[in-house]
Amino acid sequence: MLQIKNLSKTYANGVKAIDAVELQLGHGMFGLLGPNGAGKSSLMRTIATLQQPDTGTLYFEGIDVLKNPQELRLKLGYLPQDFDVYPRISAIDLLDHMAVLKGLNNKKERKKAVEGLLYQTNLWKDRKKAVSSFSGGMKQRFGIAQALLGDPQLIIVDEPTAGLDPEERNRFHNLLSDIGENKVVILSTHIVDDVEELCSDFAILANGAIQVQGKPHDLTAQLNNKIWKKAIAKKEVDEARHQYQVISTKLKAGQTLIHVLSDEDLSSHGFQSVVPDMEDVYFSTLFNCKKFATNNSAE
Amino acid sequence: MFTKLAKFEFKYFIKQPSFYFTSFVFFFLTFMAMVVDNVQIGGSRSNVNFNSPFAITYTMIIMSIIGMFLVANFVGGTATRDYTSKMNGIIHTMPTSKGSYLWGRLFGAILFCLMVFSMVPLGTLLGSLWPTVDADRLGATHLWPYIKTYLIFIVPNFIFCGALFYSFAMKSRSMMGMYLGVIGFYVLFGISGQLLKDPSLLTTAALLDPFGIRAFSQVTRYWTPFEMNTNTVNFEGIILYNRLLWLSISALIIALSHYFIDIRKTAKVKKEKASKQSSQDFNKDIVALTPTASNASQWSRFKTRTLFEIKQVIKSPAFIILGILTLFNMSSIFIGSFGNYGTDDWPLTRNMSTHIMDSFGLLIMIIITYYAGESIWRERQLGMGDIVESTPTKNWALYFPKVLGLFTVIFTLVAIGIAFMMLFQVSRGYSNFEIGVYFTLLFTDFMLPTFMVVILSLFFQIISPNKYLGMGLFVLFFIVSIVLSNLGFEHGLWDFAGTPYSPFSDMNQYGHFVKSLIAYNLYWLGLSIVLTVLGYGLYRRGTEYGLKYRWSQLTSNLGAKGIMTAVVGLALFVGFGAYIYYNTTILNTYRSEDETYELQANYEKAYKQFEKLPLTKITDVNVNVDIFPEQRKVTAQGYYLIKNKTNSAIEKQLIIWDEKSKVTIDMKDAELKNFNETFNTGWLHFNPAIQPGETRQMNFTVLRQAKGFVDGASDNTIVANGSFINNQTLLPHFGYDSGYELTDRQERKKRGMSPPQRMAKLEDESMYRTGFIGPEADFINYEAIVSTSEDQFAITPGYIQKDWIENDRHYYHYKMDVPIFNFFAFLSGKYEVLKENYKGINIEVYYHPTHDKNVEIMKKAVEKSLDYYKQEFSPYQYRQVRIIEFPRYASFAQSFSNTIPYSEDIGFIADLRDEDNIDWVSFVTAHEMGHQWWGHQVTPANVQGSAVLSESLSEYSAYLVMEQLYGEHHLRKFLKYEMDRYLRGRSGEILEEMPLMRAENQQYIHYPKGGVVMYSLKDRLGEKKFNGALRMFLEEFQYQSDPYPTTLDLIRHIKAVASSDDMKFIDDMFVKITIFDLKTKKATAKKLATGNYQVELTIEADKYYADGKGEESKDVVDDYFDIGIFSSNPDTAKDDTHVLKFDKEFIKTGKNTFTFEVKELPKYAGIDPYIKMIDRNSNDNMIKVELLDE
Repeated sequence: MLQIKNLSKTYANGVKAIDAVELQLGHGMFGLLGPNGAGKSSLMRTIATLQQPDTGTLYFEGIDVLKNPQELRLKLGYLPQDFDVYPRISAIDLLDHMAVLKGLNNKKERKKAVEGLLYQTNLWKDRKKAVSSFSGGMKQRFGIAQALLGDPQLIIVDEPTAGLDPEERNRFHNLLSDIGENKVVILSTHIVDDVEELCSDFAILANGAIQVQGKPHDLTAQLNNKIWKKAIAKKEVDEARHQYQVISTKLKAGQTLIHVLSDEDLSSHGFQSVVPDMEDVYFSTLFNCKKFATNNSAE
Repeated sequence: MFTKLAKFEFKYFIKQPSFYFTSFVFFFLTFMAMVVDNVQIGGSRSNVNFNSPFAITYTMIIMSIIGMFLVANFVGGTATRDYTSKMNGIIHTMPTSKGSYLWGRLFGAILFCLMVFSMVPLGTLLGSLWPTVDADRLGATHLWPYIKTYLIFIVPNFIFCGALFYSFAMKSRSMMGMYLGVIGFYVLFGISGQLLKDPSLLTTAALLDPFGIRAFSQVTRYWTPFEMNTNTVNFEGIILYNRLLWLSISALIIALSHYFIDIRKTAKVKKEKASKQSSQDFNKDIVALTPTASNASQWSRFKTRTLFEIKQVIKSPAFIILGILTLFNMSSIFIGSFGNYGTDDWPLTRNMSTHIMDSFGLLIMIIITYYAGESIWRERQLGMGDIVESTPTKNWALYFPKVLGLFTVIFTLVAIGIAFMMLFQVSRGYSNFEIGVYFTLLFTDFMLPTFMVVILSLFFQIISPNKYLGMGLFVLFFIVSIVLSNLGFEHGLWDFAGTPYSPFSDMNQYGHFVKSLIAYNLYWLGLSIVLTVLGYGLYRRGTEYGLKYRWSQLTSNLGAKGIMTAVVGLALFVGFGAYIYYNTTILNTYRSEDETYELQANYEKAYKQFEKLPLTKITDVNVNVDIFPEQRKVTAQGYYLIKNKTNSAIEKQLIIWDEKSKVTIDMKDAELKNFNETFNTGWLHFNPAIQPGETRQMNFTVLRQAKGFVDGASDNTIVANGSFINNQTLLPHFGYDSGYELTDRQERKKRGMSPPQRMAKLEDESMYRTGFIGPEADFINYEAIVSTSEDQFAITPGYIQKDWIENDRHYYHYKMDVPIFNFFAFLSGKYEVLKENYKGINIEVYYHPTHDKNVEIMKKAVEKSLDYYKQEFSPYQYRQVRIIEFPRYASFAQSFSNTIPYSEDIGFIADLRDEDNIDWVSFVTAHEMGHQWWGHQVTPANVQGSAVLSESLSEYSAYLVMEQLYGEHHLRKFLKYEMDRYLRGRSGEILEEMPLMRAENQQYIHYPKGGVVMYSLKDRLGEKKFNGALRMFLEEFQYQSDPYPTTLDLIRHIKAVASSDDMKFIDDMFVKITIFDLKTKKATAKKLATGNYQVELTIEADKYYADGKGEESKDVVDDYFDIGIFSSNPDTAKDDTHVLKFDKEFIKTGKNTFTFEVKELPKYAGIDPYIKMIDRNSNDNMIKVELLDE
C-alpha cells in the first residue's frame, strides 16, 4: 500500500514539478498518465528515493519513505525513464552486479535469479554482449530485468515503452501485468493505450498535480453522452474552437476529426455522439486543466 | 563560413560566465603578484625590478603554462560541445565545409583565450603602477616587453596548445582525450626540464619545451641583473628555432587532424548486432523465483563494488595511456643526469624512489583531479545513477569503493614506477634493490599523503553540485593553501597531508623523523577519516538532493558505526594536533619566517654596536664530550684558556651560544650579567679586568638535548647514527656573531635597517686580527675526551691517546700535538673503516657499510693530494687524514684539522666506473685536502676576499691534483661546469657581484671563478713560478694570526713573481670583474703536397668589464691566448696524442686570422681549448675543422 499525502516540490528555477499530490495505491498496476513535463518523472523519482520533496509524506507498507529511504529501497524495483549503463560490461555480469547491490548474497540463488531473468527478458542469447551495445528495446528489457531483481514489492517503471516496437511493447505489457498482481506497480506514460491495456487504476497528472484519478471504466462512464465528434475542414478548426470545447483534433482522410466536450446534445449541429474512451478522458482532463489555467490568469 | 564560425565561437564564449571568471583570475593573480609582497609568480630576484623586461616575460610565460588549462577548457568545450549537447546531428547536416567547421571554431576559441590571457599583462602593468608598490623595485614603464612577449611566446603557445588539445578532443570526442593531451604535454615539459641539468643538452632541452620557457631560460641564463632590467629577448637564435619548431608542429597537427578527423562521425558507432529475438514470452513463475532483496551483507556489496571500481579505472583507456606517460616521464632518467658534473650517482633505491616522486609532481594532481571527478560522477554521467542509487546499497558501500579505486590508480602507477626503476638499476649493473626501502619511502613520502589528497578531492566532489565545480574547489583549495602559507600560516598544522621535511638516510634511516612523521600522518589521517565518513554520509543519491538535505540526513546515513568512526577520526585529528602543537611550539620554539627575521633584526640592532670591542682569544680547549646518540643528547664539560692579546685591559665581553645548547659558565673573578634569553647572549664581566697578555681559565658545562620534534628545520646534529656537531654549535663563543644578521635587502628595509653589509671591507685593518671563523678564534691547543654508545666510534681532531669502555660507553681520548685553528667537530657513528699508512701518514676512511664503492678512490685522492701539496706548498702538519661519512642532512664535505666529514649524499654514491665521466669524488677530496693547507695552515682575516684564500686556493689545488690524476683534457670538461656555475651564479646575484679580490662569501665567485683564475695564472706565469708565489705566501702567514692575511697579501706575492706584462691581467682577474668573449668563427684545413695540413683559423675576441650589477663596458684585447688544433675531440680524449698544435698566440680585439701547418688531419681547433679564461660562452671556443678540397 503506497500512500502519498500533500507531496509538493518546486525546483530552484521556480518550476512547480509536484503540486500537492495525494495518492493511495494498492496492489496492481497503476497508470500515471500525463503529457511531457507534467511532473511524472519527478513524482516517480521522489517515490524511488532519488529526490526530496519540499513538503508531504510518503508511506509504503508502513515505511516512512522520506525518513527511511533505505527501507524502501529494499522493496523497490525501479526502471528509470532514461538510463544508460557502464560500458564494456556484459549483460550477465552487469545483472549479477546489480543483484549483489540488491543484496542477493547467496551465490547459487543469485545465479539462478540472474539467469532466469535474462531468460525471461529474452536476453539469454545476448547475455555475453555488452549492454551498452544493445538496441533500445533490448536495453529496455535489461532495465526491466534489473528492476525485477530482489522480488520488489513496489515497482516503478517510468515511460518503459518509449522506443519499443509494437511486438516488444506487447510482450512488455504482458510481463508487467503478470507481475503486477501481488505488487504495487506504477507505470508512467504519456501513451493512453498503455494505461488502457494494463491499468486497473490510473491518474492523470498535469502541471504537477493530479487532475483525475480512478478506474478507467468509471472515468469513461462519467463522460457518457458528453463527447461529440465531427469531421470538419482544416480551416474551420479555429472557428470550432471558439464555438465549442474542442478537446482533441485528429487528421483523418484529409479532414479534421474533432472531439468536443458538451453536456448539451450537439447532434443538431452535425455532431455525432461518441462512446467515450480513455483518450477522451485524457484530453478532456487536459482541456479542463488548460481552461482552468487560462481562466486563472485572466482573473 | 570560417570567419562566421570563428565569430560565433568567440561570441559564444564571451556570453559564458566562465569568461568573466577566468579573466578575473588571470588579472587578479598577476595584479596581486605585483602589489602584494607575499604573492609571487616564479620567484623574484631582489636585484631585478618587478617590472623589468625579464620579469614581465618570465611572468607571462609562467602564466601561459597555467593558461594551458584555460586553452584546454575552452578549446575542449568547443570540440565537444556539439556532441555533448547532441547538436551534432543538426549541425553536421548543414552545408559547412570541413575546414571551416574544424578550424574556424578553433580559431575563434584561440582568439578568445588570447583575449582572456591579455589580462595577464594588464594585471602586471596596472600592478606596477599601483602607488603602494616599492618604487625602488620598479624601472621605467615600457609597453614593448609586454607586446613582444605576447607575440613571441603567448600567441604560438596558445596556437600549439589549442591545436593539440582540439585535435585530441575532436578525435576522441571527449574531454578525456583532451585531459590526456594536457598530461602528455606536461610530461614533455617535465622531460625538457630534466635535460636542463646537463649543460651539453641545453639546446635540446630548449628546443623540446613547447612553452619556450627553457629557450628563454637558456638565452637569459647568464644575464646579469642589469641585463635583466634592460634587455628584452629577441626573436632570434634558439628562441626563433623553438618557436618555429612548435609552430610547424602545430601546423602538422592541424594537417593530420584535418585528414584523420571525420566530423560527421557520431561519437559512438560501435553497436554489436544483437541476435534475433525469439518470440518467447516472459514467464512470471521464474521471475517470482528471484530472492528477496536484503539489507544484509553490505560488506559483499562493498567488495563487489571495490573490484568493480578498480576494473572501471584500470580497464579505461585513459589509465593505460597514463601508465605509458608515467613511464615516459620517468624515462627522463636515462637521458638527463642525476648527480654532479654530469657523472651519475649509483642508482640508490632511495634516490630512485625520489625520482619516482619527482616524476609524478604536478602530474599526480592532474590525475587525482580527473579521476575524482570521473569516479564520483561516473554513474550520473553514464545514466546509470538512478538505477544504482535506488538499490538498497548503503552509501558507504558505494563510496568507499570509489576511494579504493583511486587508491588503486595511485598504487598501480607507483608499482609501475618501482618496476621501471628496478629495471633501470639493473641496466646500471646495480642490484641492491632494497624493495623494503622502495615501499617504505614511497608509502610514507608519497602514497600516504597522496591518498589523503584523494580523499580531499573526492570530498569536494561530494559536496559540489557538479563535476567541474568540484574540480575547481579542489584546485582552489591548493591555491588558497599556498596564499595562506605566504601570509604567515606556515606551520605544518595548516598544510594538508603535509609532514615536516624528513629525509631518509642510508646511515640513519628515518631516524628521529619517525616521531614527527607518525604524529603528522596520524593528525592528517584523523581529518581524512572524518572527510571519508562525511563523504559517505553526504553521498548524493539522485540529482536533486541539495547539500542542506543531505546534511540533515547525515546522522541517519552514518549510523552508530559511522559516527563512532568520525569521532575516532576527530579525536585523532584534535589529539595529534594538540600533540604536534605541544611538541613544536611548547617543547620547542616555533618561529614563522617573519618572526625569525624580526629576531635577527633585533639582535643586530641590540648588539651590532659592540662588534669592534676588544675580545680575549681562546688559546686552549680541553673538553669532555659525551654523546648519547639514541637520546639525541650531548653534554660537554671543559674549559677554555682565554688570553687578552690586545693592548688594553678587558673588563667585559659578550658571550653567546646556540639556543639549543644550555650552557653554564663557571669562571673565577667573572660574572655573567644582562643575559638575554632571547638571543642567548650576555656580558661576561671580569673583575679584575683581564690585563694585556694575561690568560685565564673559563669553565663551562653544556647540555644539549633534543626534545620532541619540531616543525620546520630540525636539529640534526646528534642522531642515532652519524652525529656531527661543530664547536660553534655546541660550545659558547665570544663577541657579536654577524652570522645571525638579516641579509635580505627588502626585509632589512622593511625594518628600517641599512642595506646589508655581508663582510667587512678588505681595507678594514681593525678586522685583520679576526680569523674567518669567529672573533674569539685563534690557533689553540686542543684536547678532548669523547664518549659515545659502546657500538659507535667517536671522532674529533687529534690523535687517540687511549680508548676504553666504561658503563657500556666507549671513551676516546684525543689530543692534538700542534696548534689547530679553533674550529673542530665531534662525530659519532657505526662505521666500516679503510686504513692505510701512506709514507708515514695514516689515511683512514670511515664509511657506512653499503657505501664502499668509492672509498679507494677517496684514499687515492688523499695520497695524490699529500704528495703534490707537500711537494709544492709545505709539509703536511699532521700524521693522519681521516674522512668520516655523515648522514645526508647536509650535502657537503668540510675540512677540520686532520678530520674531513663527508656527506653520504656526495662522493660515496657517485658511479665512477666510466672513466670518461668526471671524477668529482677525487676532486672534492683533493679540495678538502687543500684546506689542510689553505684554511688550516694559512687562515684568512675575516674581510672581503677571505674565502679566496681558503676556497679558491683549495679549488686550484684540487684542479692540479685532477691534472695529475687524469691530465689536462679531463679538466676541460670539468672547467666547463665551473664556468657555467660562475656565470649562472652572477645572474642570480641578489646584492652586487664583487671582483674576486673582494668576494663576500659568494660561492659562485670564490669556488669556480677563483679556481679558474688561479689556474689561468698558473698557466700564464708557469706552474713553478705561481706555486712558488703561493709557497712564499704560505710561508709568510703559516699559523699566523697577528695579522691574518688578506687577498692583498696574496696578490702581493703573485705580483712579486710576475713580469710587468702580467700586471694588467692580474688586476683584471682580481681587482675588476672581467669577462672575455672568445670564439672561433671559422676553421678550415687544406692538405699540402708534403702530406701536412694547412689550417686557417678565424678567431674573434672581446673583453668586457662589468660593474656589480652587470652593466658592461668594453676594453681592448691585446694578449696571448692558447690556440689548439686537435686530431680528435678533446672532450673524449684519453691522453695527449691528439694534440697537433698547442701554443699561445697574440690576439687582439675583434677578428684575428691565423695560418698553421700541422702533420696530421685536424678535426677540432680553436681558442682557449682548456677554458682557462673567464669566458661568457665556453662552448664556442672550439669548432670542427672543415676540410677543403685541394
